[in-house]
Amino acid sequence: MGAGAKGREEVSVDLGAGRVPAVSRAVALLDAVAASDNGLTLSDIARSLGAPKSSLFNICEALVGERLLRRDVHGRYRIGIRIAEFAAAQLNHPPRLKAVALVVQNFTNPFFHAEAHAIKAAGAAASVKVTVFDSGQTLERQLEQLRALATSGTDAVILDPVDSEGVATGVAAVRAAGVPVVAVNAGASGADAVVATDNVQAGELIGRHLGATLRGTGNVIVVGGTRITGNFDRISGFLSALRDFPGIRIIDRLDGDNTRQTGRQVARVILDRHPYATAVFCINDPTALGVLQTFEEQGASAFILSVDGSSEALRSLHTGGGIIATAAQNPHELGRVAFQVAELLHSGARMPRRTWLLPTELIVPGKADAYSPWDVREPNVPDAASAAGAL
Amino acid sequence: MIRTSAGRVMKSPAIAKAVAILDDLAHSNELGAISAIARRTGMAKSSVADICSTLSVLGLLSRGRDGRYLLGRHIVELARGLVGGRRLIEVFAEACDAAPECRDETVTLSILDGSDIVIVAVRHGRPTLPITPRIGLRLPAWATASGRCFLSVLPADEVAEILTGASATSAGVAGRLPSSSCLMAELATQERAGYFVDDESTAAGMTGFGAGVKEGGAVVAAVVVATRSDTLTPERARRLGAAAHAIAAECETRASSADDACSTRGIASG
Repeated sequence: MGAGAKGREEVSVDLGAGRVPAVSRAVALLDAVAASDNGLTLSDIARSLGAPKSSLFNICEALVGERLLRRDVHGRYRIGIRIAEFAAAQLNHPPRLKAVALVVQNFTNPFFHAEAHAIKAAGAAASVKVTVFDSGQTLERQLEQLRALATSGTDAVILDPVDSEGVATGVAAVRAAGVPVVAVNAGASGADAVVATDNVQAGELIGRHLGATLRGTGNVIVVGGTRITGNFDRISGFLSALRDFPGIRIIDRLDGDNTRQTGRQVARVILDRHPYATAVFCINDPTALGVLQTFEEQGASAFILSVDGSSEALRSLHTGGGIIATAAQNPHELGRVAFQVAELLHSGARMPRRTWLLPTELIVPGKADAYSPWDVREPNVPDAASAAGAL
Repeated sequence: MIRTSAGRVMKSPAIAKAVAILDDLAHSNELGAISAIARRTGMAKSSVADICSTLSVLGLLSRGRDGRYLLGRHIVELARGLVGGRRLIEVFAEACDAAPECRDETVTLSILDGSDIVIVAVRHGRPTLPITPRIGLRLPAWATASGRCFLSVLPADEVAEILTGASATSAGVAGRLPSSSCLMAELATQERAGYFVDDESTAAGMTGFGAGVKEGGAVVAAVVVATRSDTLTPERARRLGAAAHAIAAECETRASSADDACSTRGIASG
């Protein structure tokens, strides 16, 4: 069941499926009629379902009586208009979301402002109240917020996790209260759905670009970040692409916490340990900008690559050194899709998938003019601090 | 004793019960719990549970995470049987939204049934129309802009036959059934403009602009943009006609894209 009416080669003829055979038979009959191009006669239906005309006649008449079937001018059975009424109801009346809670990692990074703005905008368009919580980049705070949300009466939680695995108990608490959880930007253990940038692809784009830029040889340092899937995925994709360039060596792996500040700290370690590194791959723009700042202060130079596509990274894009590429994410789109997935989950619809991955775009100096970064128009930032204070 | 909605005694009470459940869920805006459906329809809970379970296996209902029911996706798939097996009813609302010039207008999607057209989907507009189009509303094909889309591709003898069986009266307008040759001539003129017009033949004060949704030369459904006649200027008429045409084309395009309505593309492109 579930195949389109047209293009279905065989009609289901399992007349006894389900606890009420009469209903199963009636639906099998509707399926057969829906799949036909020009309606079916009683004989056609009998042939199609392999059942005697006498028993099918009563069902047909019952369905005509209910307007689920109609007889056309040639006496052939066709789908009845009441099906259109039910279809309109199915399409128009999923139970509406009323309130959504959005929990973000922090509001230090403009990325989360853009993400929150998109979700607030989607909420406003659908008359859904969106309350935003800032976890201040602390797992404990995020867990506390999630536990409080479980009993807050919200219809759905959209979560940008501080730690993909660490949030598991908080996610479980929310879901135990019957509230769906959509992880956005990074996976969250136990969430009903994940809407994220295709971070593996982002890493691959950057890796291939670096391979070409270095003409296959060089010493590269990877700067990771917090323990979220997005960061691991970016690094996996980056390393995977570099497998095609055996002359490029990864000489060190350091971790920051996704901020410019730790980018600066990591840069000092790099300069100390590997003064002749050719390139540094950072998992996001703030980290890359921190590394760049320290390098510039120390008069050092290396190719720096990252993921995000923020306006500040864009301003630093330069072919000769510094940031040479960033793979652009789209937090507006992430937020918008996450909101729609929350709506779907709340409606109880059967989900066609658990993970939505949105593509990224490689931004390099030649392409930068055509690209409009997501943080250019500074969004109206929701007052997260006061909302978070309520928890 | 179970009776059908038409009042006849039912030989298949299970079917009547199943329809009553679908009806109940279609009219409530919430997921239905077994007990609530039983209360509203006056059926025994055990019977509701059995039928819901069967309808759910068959895809006509779907089950929320908390065990409550809502109308299932397969209903929409069955509805494709009304429109040549295509996804037209599903994409109709999006196709209307894609035509900003008639954002406030009422738009309908109809099929031909004998000498009538029947509305199978409606996007309601802001201005009140002399008649309120609703799904299931049956109107004489000759009078409506949608009916004209269907008639325009039929041979003259079939049009004559349809007119023979047609009702001369339509809402608010009486006794204007045209002759077959008159109608054919009018259709030919309108076809050249790219859209068909119902100039108050269906209801006084209402004008409709229609365009057919085609498959292999045949019209499988028709889109009509309906508006109040007193708001029309020649320029606005031309724009609404073009909008009807654009929505019909958009329906064709969207229905042809093979992706499921719930795929990433469907979601990501809104």
